[in-house]
Amino acid sequence: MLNATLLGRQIGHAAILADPFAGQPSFSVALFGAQQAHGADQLPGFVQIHNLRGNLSDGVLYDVESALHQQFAQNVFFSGVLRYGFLYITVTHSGSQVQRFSHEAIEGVEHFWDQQISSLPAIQYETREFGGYIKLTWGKIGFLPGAFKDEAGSAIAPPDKLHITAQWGARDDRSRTIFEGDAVLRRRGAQGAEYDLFEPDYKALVLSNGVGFNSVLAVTSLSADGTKLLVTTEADHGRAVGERVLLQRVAEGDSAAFEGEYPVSAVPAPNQFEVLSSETGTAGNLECSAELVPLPLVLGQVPQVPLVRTGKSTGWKFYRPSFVGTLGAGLTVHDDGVDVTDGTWAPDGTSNKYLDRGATQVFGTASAQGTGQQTSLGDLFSWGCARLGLDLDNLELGGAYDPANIEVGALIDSQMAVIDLLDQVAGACNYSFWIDSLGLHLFSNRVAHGDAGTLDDFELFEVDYAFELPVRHFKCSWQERFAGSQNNGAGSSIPALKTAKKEVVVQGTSALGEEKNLVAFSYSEATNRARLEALAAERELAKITLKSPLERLPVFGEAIALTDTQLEPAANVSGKVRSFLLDFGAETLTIFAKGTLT
Amino acid sequence: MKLIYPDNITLVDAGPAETLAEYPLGNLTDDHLRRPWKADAGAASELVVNLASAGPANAVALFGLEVEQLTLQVYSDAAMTQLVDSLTVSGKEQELFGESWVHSVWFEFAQQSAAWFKLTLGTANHKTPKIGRVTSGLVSKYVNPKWGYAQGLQDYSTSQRLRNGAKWARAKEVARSPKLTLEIPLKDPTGWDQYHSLIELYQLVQGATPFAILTVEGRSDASGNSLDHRYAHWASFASGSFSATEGGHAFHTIDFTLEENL
Repeated sequence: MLNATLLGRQIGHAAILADPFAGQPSFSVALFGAQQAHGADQLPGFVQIHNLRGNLSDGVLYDVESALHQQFAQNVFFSGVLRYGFLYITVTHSGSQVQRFSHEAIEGVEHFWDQQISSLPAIQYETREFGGYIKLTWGKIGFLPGAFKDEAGSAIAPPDKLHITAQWGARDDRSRTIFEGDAVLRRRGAQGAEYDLFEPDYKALVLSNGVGFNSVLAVTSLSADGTKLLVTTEADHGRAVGERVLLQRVAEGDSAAFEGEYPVSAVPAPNQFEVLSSETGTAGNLECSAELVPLPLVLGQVPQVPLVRTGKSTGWKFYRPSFVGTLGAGLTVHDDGVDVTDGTWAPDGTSNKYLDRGATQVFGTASAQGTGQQTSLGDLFSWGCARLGLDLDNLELGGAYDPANIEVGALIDSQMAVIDLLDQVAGACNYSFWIDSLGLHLFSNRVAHGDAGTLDDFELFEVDYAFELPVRHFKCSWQERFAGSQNNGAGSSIPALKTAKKEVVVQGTSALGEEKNLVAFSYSEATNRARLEALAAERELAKITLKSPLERLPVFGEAIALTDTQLEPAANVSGKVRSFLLDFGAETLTIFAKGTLT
Repeated sequence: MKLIYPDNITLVDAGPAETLAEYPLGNLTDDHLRRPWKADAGAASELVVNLASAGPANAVALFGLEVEQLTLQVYSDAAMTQLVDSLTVSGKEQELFGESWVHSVWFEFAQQSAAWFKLTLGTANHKTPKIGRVTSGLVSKYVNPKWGYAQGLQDYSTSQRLRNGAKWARAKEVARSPKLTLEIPLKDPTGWDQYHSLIELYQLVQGATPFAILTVEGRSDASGNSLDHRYAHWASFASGSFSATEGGHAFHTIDFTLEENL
């Protein structure tokens, strides 16, 4: 092999595995260094070599050998510059018009990427202190004047809204999606147009609604024409166009056709309203709301879940919590804490809507005990992903930290977005997740996913270590209802549903600093203590910031290591990637990791 | 020094069927060299591209070429029966560091009130011929720039220092950006016209519109081969670089910097 100069060699080692000057039609390049530990799907996969001379073609893309440990080619050489990645931005606007842009002109394998981007902010992935949703933020993107064209190729005014997919890689046919979302026009001038970028908004809510007790109107007739429903109520409903109404069956056995929540589309008469629906089934006994109430979600085992009453004042009908089991078999009902799971309740099944006692009075606070449908972190994320329309990628499946084995327990009785609930619970359990075009990827912060290998100073611009302020103690508290008693005022004790506050405190390593209050997602003291201990350990890790050339895309959870000889004394550094920042202008990658210095 | 302005080049058809959809023939009249026309010749051993000069022309220039062989024929009629002139060039040349593309062609012919061009591109080996820009029109002739001018390369590559002090660089585009000084002799009978026409040109194109310019004419290599392709630029004036000084004794002086329009 020839001994030549490798210009622009900043990637550890690069080796040509065949003599490029021997006339081979193609050759491979092997990369040694930080890239070697990545799976094939994590590597850009290809390098582009510029300014090649001799028998090689300038700018042609050559495959990177997947067997990155082939050591037979050392001290190798070619004159050229390795280029690991380009940014590919696909913009869809005006319906289905697709244009492809970058901040440099790229004749890709599949497409031409036009140099029409005037400004491009850094992409920042951010995570909360202990994990949760690793959220992507991207600021404003600027396009040159005349960048947008119609199908005929004529310039058009910048559209109000764009759909944008950004990918990165050495080849446009094997690039990795790093952003998919919308952009909204914010500024337009002689210098071009500027857009704000937004990730997909996950609007799905945790709690479904029910009909408030004693605010129910019987539906006296319902007609459906395939596009709308005309509903007539027993009395004036008082609803206006745009307000939401909820139709529900009166009794468990009634037809569920037409059940649902709708916005009112018209009010033909005070006791009539219309909603849009293509449903054409046969209407059973229905009632509708004058007031909507959120129905709590039960996660895991929750003691004494208060029941939400619905229907008319003449009946004792409650919404059945999302418990598994049936009455008397995993599910009990209580009146002021007294078990009233008797034969007066309507026959119960897991999929039932109501716990209905008919006319038999419940005297005090009605509650139920049982186990919710979602008992583990894995269950919760399966349910959440289904609600969000995402595929769940459980990176811990079958491992020591499989979320299927992570118990959760909570009563969610206040409306919130599903994504926020997942964020909070994952953070409390020291898990993180990110969302991309392939779905939602969930992993434990305590497990490494991938290994960037040992970095050296050829791969780094700057390294910085920061440490959180000490925490005096970590605390979480929660409330539990239990069957208790109280004085009836005449000296006698009567049953009562009581509430107890519970709390777990874990001391930090220092008596200094603040107190950290965390949300509990379990009713088990031992579980909450273990979680606090895990979060305390996470908090006390060093925050490692590594600024390096943008030559690869890191993976969340990926292990990093280096021996920092510039510290006095030198330290061995190890950690896991928590988030990162991609600066396409400066072509730098800044990794934020948590880890240790020893 | 010569330049072609205004540009009269025009398309006469949509180009060969082998044209790649994302590199349409219209890109030949787009001002950016990095937005080229490109085709995939497949089994074809040559492709033909037809163009025309909608106005008077005595020159045609091509830039951003990656074509293994080019035959350029100039006709005086749209039916392309009256051949005016032709040229065949190899698309590659041997350099000290290896073979490279001949990126530009400058060709002059007898003046026509309108002209039609037939470009025959050899594709026996290189199947994806590419042309960045074609321009045609009348040539204006000027004195060659004063020797000692800087070729000027605008390198958009970036570099930073790694943690160990080593250089890390990112290769990007390099635009040619010659810095020229014309000394137009007062004694030259065309001197006044040269001087004022360049000022007029600057007022027309300012720093925005590119044009074809042959910065030095008449240069040859040691074997007598023309070096026009080395001195031909598709470029615009660099903003704020144009300065014209009216001479009192010997020369009018014009300084300007060009910026290749990538």
